[in-house]
Amino acid sequence: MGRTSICRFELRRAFTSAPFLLAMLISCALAIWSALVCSVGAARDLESVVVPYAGQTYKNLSAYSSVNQWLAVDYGAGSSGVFFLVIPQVASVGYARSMRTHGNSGDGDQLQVRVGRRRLLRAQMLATFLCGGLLVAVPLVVNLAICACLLPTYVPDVMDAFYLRVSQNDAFSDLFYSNPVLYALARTALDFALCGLWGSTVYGLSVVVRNRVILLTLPYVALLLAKYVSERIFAIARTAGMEGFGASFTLFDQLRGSPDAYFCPLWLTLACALAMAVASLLLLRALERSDAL
Amino acid sequence: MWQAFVRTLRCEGRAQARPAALRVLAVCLFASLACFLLCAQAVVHSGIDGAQSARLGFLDFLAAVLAGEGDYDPSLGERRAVPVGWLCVGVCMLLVTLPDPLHDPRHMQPLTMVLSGSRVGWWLASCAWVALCCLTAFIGIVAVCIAWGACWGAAVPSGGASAGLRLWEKTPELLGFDASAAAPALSGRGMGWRDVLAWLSCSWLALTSVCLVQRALVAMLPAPVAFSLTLAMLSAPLFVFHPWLVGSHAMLARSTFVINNGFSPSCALGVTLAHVAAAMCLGAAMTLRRDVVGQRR
Repeated sequence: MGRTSICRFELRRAFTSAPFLLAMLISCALAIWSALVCSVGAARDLESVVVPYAGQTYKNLSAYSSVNQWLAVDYGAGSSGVFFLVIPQVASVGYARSMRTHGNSGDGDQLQVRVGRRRLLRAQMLATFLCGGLLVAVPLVVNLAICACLLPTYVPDVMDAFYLRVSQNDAFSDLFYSNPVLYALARTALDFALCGLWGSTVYGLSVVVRNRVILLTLPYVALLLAKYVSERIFAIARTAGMEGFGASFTLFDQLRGSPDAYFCPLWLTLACALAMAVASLLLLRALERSDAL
Repeated sequence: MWQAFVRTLRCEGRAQARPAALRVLAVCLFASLACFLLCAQAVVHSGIDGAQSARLGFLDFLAAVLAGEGDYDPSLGERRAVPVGWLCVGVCMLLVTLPDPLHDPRHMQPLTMVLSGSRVGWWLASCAWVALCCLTAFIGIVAVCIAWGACWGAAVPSGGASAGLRLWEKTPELLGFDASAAAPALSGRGMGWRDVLAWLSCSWLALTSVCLVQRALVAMLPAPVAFSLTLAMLSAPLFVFHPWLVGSHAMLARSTFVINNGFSPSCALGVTLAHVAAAMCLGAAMTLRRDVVGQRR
């Protein structure tokens, strides 16, 4: 079995596995719920408030644009909040358990003998990366498509920034106010990479964690704890008079166009992505060197 | 069935006591961390002589762990810090009770289920074990809050059961939740011990019902998927203010003692008991249909 065929084999196994399909179902359900809640609300406002008075006074039409109701941009609806709180866990459910599942069942041992340990682990990590990425990218695309079907698309006006949540400190904000389609593409690509890398890092942790359930849940708890502790420390610093101190460095905010309380600059997001990439490669190396017997 | 229930509960207790104790300890450590961070914030807020002027008590430390979010209107769309501290407690509770009893590596539980002679008895024992774990973790959280209150030097209000416990007026601002100035927890009369006990019972029941929903889902789905679904259910009340969302009733900041339009203990009791009943019926139905032999193949 060659390199291409083991990759194809792992990808097929990943994309047809029950946990991946269930995780995709959960993330798509949340995305569709968000699209319907946001779009129906915005369409109702547009019909009843904006259109009848459009000729008489200035109305912020771009606040009702489909791009502004997009999951990655919307901040007001609870559905987007739930989606981005849950998605790191869902992304790791995709295929990050593959090493422990197939290794424990003896299936992995057979494959290791036939194709070599290094090739198998790399194919599994690639499949995990793609699964993690797709679990966030597909719902985002589905959500945007539904929003675009239900609402008109205006180019966001920078004068309406008061009503829109994307500020100048957020990633790709200049693209958002000039070319929203390019912004959507860039945002989706960034989220794909971030979730893929998160899945790969969780996969890499298989070298130290043997229990599958702990492998898939403990990194999420650690991420949650990092957000909690950092935000409390930033709050203490702000109480002490350090105004504007703190930035969000957890996946919960980096995946969104408009994060919650703390800003999330692009350089910090890229630094975190780099850290996850390095961690997953180091863990992969450790996995390759670990004793299979 | 009763015999099966008792024997299974005893068996589960023996097998799961140690890992469950470790997880409960982790919950207590987290509660301690939350209390420490509140103290640090209070000291910084009060300036140099903070220890004297920051009047923190048991209720403030309880709020540091279980406050959650107050009255939240998503249509305003304001940037705010999502109360992840409360979510951390909920997630830890979910992890305490996550393991699927039928997927233990030693295959002891399927054997127990078969030998107990009653699947319904076995399932009820499993639910009782979840409730016990949640209760232990909850008692741990309360004990940590009392210990921090005692360390901080909070005075125990005199007057027995009628004495009121109050939140320090700065606590809502420090923890980032809204509170009504006229609500019992902030006004002069305070929360009586009975109020505190009623809220604690509802909060425990609410978290237990979420854990029971997870246990029922674990009977149908892989454990990490069931965990993800329950996580979505648990995090929904952080963004939606609605009494049907059971997580709301585990938030002190959303109770009628802290905000005027909060949820009363009777409302909490109704919603949580409905969730408990639904989870137990669903789980019992799945347990009766479960193919123990087939899943071993």
